[in-house]
Amino acid sequence: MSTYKLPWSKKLKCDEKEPKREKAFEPESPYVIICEGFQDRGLICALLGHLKITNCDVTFPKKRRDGANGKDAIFQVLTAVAGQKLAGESLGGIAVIRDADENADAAFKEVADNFPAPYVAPKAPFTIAKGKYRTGIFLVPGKGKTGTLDHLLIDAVVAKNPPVIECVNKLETCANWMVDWSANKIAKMKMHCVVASFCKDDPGCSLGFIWSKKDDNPMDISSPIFKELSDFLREFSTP
Amino acid sequence: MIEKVEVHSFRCFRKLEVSNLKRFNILVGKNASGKSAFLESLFLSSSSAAPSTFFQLKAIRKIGNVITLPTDPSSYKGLWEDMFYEFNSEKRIWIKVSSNPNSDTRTLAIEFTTSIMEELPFNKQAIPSGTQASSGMPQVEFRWKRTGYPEVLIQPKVTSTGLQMGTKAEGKETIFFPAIWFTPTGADNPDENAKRFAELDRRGDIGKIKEAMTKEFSFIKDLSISYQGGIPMVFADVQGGEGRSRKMPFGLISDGVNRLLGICLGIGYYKSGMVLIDQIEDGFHHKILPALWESIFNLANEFNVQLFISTHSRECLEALLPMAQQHAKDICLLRAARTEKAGCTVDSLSGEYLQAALEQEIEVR
Repeated sequence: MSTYKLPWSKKLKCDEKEPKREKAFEPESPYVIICEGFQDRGLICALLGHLKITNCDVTFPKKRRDGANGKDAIFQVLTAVAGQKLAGESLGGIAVIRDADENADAAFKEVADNFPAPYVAPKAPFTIAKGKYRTGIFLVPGKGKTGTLDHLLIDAVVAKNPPVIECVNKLETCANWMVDWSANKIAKMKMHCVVASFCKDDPGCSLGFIWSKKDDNPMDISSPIFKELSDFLREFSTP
Repeated sequence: MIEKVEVHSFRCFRKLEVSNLKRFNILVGKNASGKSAFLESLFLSSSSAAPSTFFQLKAIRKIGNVITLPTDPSSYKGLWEDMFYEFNSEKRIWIKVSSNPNSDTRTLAIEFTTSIMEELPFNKQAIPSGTQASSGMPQVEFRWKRTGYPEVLIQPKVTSTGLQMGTKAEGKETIFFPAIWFTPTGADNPDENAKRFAELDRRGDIGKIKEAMTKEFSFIKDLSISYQGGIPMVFADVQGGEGRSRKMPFGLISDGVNRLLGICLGIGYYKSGMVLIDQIEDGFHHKILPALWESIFNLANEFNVQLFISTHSRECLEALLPMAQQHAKDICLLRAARTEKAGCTVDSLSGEYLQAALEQEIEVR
C-alpha cells in the first residue's frame, strides 16, 4: 500500500485493498528450512520438488523490524521456529540458507550464534550437525564464494543460456549511472533483466515464481550449478 | 507472583511442570489441549475452599449447576472422579504453585482415603436395592497448605441436609489467595461489578478503572453506582446528542463494554492476586483488541496482578504485538498440547519468542 502526501498535508490511501493475508506459518514437516526471502524460497521449494524431498517445510521473514537489517528478521524466524512442536515434540531439524554477502565467515558466525536451544549450530557451514536435532547452515552462492542468491542464479543462467549474460553485461557497461552500484545490486539487476526477457507472458515475473514457468525459465533446476545446495538439502532431510 | 506450577494426576495432566511464569501469561492451544484444565489447577489451588471451587468449576464447564446427591458409594465417587487423570482415583492429585524465591507456595493434595465417611445420608433417603449402602461412602480428602498458614484438611461429607464441604465443620477459616476466573461469557454480573466498584472506590482506586474505560470509549464520560429495580449496578454517564448526557447501566451499552468493565474491576479488586481470563477475545470487536490489551496490562501492573489469559484468536494475538514489544520480559507464552503418551503438556516460551513469532507471522496457537 502506498501513500501520497497531498498539498494540504493529508494522507490519502491510494490503495484501499489490503494485501491478501497469508496463513501464519505452521510447520507440518519435521524439518524446517529458513531462508532470506520469497525468491530464495522459490528456488529451495523447486529443488525440494526436483529431489523428491517431502519432509521439509520452508519459511522466511515476513517483516523487517524498524531500524534493523533484513538478517535480524531471519534470527527472529529462527527463534520462533525453534519454539514450534509437532505432536508435542520439538522439530527434527532446522537449517538456515542465507547469503554469504561480502564475508562468508561473518555470515556463518552470525547465524550459528543465534541458534536457540535445544538446537545446536553446526561447527562449519555446508555441514549438517546430526545430534538429537539436525542443524545446518548453507551460505549462498556456495563454498568459497561471497555474494547472494542472484550470483548463484546468474551462474545457472550462464549454464543454460550463455549468450544472454553477454547482453546484460553490455547493459551494465552502457548504463553509466550504475557505476557506484554494489556487486550484489548489479547481480540483482542482471537477474531481473534476464527473467524479464524470458518471461513472454509476464516480463514482470518475480524470481520467486520463475520456477513454475516451464518454457519461460532461463535456468534449469537440474543444473550442476545447484549440486552443492542439492547435496546439502539431501543430507539435511535424510534421517 | 506464581513462577512455577507442578501438577500431578489432575484432569488431562499426568505430570506437568511449568516454569518461568511471568506477570502476563498467554495461554494458547487447540481444543482439548488442556488450557482450561491448566487454569483450573491454578484456580483450585488458590484457596482452601477447593471442594466448593471444584463444583464451581463444574458449573463453569457446564457439566452441572445442580448436583443430585448420590446414594451409593460408586456414584458418590463418580462425583469427584473427573478431577483425576484418566478418572483413576487411585492416584493422588497434587498441585503445587510456587513463587520465586519460594516466598509463597500453595499445595493442594486430593485423594480418596481408605476410611469410610462417618455420617451417612441414608436415614432420609431411599436406598436403591442392590447398592452397597452398608459399606458407607468413600472419603475424599483435600489437604491445602499455604506458606505461613497451618495445613487445612477438608473432608466433604454427605449428610441428611446435603453435601457439606467440611471447612466450617472443621472449625477452620477458609484461607484465600485472591483469584478470580472470568469465563468466556462471564465478567458481567451487575451485583459483583457493583460490589467491586464500591470496594475500589472505598480504597481510592476507582480512578484507574474509570480512566481505562473512558479512554477507550470516549462517549463514556464517567462511571458511578446507582440502582435499577432495587439492584445496585455500575452506570455509565453516556454522552448523548446536543451535549446532553444520560446515565445508563453498563449492561445496556454493550456486552463487550460490560465485559471489559468486569475484567478491569476484577483486576483492581483482586489486587496482588491472580486473574484468569478464558477466551479473552469473546465479545470484543477486533479494533478494540489493542486497547483492551493495553488497558489490562496497565491495570495488572498498577494493581500487581498476575494474569493468565487464554485465546484462540489470531487477531487477538496480533493485537497483542505492541504490548509484547514493550513488555517482552514480563510475558510468558504457554502452549498447551495433547500428546498420545503423556496426556496434555504445557510449554512455557518467552515473551521474546512470542514477539518474534507475531512479527514474523509464525503460528503460535
